Amino acid sequence: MIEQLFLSAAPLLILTIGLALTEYARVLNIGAEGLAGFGAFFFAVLTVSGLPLPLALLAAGLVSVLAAGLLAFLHLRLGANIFLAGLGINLLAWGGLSVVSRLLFDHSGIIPMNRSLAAQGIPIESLPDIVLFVALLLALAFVAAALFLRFSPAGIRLRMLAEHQDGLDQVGSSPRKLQWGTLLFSGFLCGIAGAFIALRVGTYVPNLSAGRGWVALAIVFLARRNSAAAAGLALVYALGEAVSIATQANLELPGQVLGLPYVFLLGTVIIWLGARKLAGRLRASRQRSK
Amino acid sequence: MRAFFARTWRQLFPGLLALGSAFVLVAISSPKPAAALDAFFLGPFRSFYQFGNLLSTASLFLITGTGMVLAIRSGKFNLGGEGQVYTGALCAAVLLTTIDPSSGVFGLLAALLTATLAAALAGAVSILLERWLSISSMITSYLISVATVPFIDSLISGPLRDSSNNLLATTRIAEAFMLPKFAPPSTLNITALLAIALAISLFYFLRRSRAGLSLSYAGSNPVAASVYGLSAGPITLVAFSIAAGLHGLAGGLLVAGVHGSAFTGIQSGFGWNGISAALIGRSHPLGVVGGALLFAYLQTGVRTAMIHTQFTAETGILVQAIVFLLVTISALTGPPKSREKERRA
Repeated sequence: MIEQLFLSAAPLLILTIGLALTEYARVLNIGAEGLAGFGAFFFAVLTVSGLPLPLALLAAGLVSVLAAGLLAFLHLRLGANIFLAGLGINLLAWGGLSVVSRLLFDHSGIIPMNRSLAAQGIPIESLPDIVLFVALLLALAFVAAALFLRFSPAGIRLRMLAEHQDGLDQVGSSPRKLQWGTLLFSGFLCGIAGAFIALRVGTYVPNLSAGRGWVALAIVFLARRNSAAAAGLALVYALGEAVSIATQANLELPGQVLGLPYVFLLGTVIIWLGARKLAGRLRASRQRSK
Repeated sequence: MRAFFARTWRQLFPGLLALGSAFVLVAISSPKPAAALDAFFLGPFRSFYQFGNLLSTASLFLITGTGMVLAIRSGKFNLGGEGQVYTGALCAAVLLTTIDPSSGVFGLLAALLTATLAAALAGAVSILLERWLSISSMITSYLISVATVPFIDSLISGPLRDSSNNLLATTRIAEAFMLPKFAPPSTLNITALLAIALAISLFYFLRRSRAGLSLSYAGSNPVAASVYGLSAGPITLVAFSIAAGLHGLAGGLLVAGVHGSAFTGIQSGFGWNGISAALIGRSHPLGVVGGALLFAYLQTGVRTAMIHTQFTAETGILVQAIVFLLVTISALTGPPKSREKERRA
């Protein structure tokens, strides 16, 4: 159960880092869902083409970097609205990947990878171990990103950009360069997250990321630049997903619980923030009575 | 004169871009480019049926788009449109199959009002959560929507399903509740007039009324507005609720005017196309009319081309993607003076 929770939360963690960094850089990447889709699709395509697993993972990330580069170019160079262009990236992935799939495989459906992985000497039985190992790496990347933001010079610059853009100009750093770098890096992370989801399933199916890019966006907003809160919310979502899967088997109408992960996520934030607000009010009234 | 041309170019650019990209994609993606182009661009106008359906779709996009414009003008973004349309459709379908058909127009109005109020309630929850707990209404509206959709799916495919039908749909509503069609067999109905009336009403509300001006000012610059004593609080709550309610109304009209029942996925695309129409119309209550017509035209063109050639629905999505990616490029649409200022800065 704990392992499943961890595996569900891992891609969300990495997507959340990607989006959180762009939020700090004032270029919030709305296209995370699409970028994850690019990563998942090209990971499957490259694996099926015989590229070794680690290289396929990296290459999937790089394809998403290209898509994020398009977003960065349109916004930072040509002045396009980042929100609209981000929605455009999501639609580009949705429509474009079907077209590419039809060109490559003559269908826009499922791309199974098990046989190709077996040909590379990775039997299906060992796949869960590999998935767990990659998930551990993703969790470590999350911790590294939190430390990077807190202690590294680039992280400090990023936080400065988030709080006070002019201040960064005054110390001689280029906000534009930082924004470019952050958007490209977020593309890489989203691509890796998508590739991880495909690896976990062992197959690519259209819309594999299933709204996780949007969930990560929600977590970024709800966690309010608090890494621990972000990790906690990713776990809450994963818990909702696990409960939803477990209860579906016992229900006459399984669809009724499909929205459970979102209810868990929102419910947790409401209870958490509500309790904090109530505690603050109680504290204030106690101080007043003293 | 130059300013006039610049303004006209800015207004026409999104539409020209959409049509241009559609032209290129249709031409390169079909083995019979001439037939595909003909079906895509002229097909929607070739029969009254297709053209009527185009206007019918546009009227529903216009209602959701008008809701989106209202939300944007109040400084908020409603990402829950799909769930709100679905909620409205379900409410209308359930009520119109339970109310006595002899109640006629009153029964229909009651169902549409309930559909509007149910969606408005979802919108109000988002704003209240933002006010009380500072949770972004954009995010909560999305989360409420994605949690609602599978729940309604399961209701329609479960207890509310019409077992005499193979479709995953509710029981068909009585003919007395169906909105009269202007040009049968197309689905064009009174929704078109209602949608235009709503867009014009919003235009006058934002331009002429004190509440509308307060909403616009507070939405675009809350700090400056508060200096002048314009508080956005209650107006934003009402505006966002109405914006969500309009999505619910569109859902109700989709049942009463087009399909006659609610089926799984009936809401698909109406929320997102409403956002697209509002953004293409540059969040102007009248600009959204053009946006709604454009997206309805693209959708009808895709459907027509799919029937007649090997054109796929994905190509239509790609056209939408290109529009979103390029439509706000200031290098193409920004006024020359502001670009010059920006360069100097």
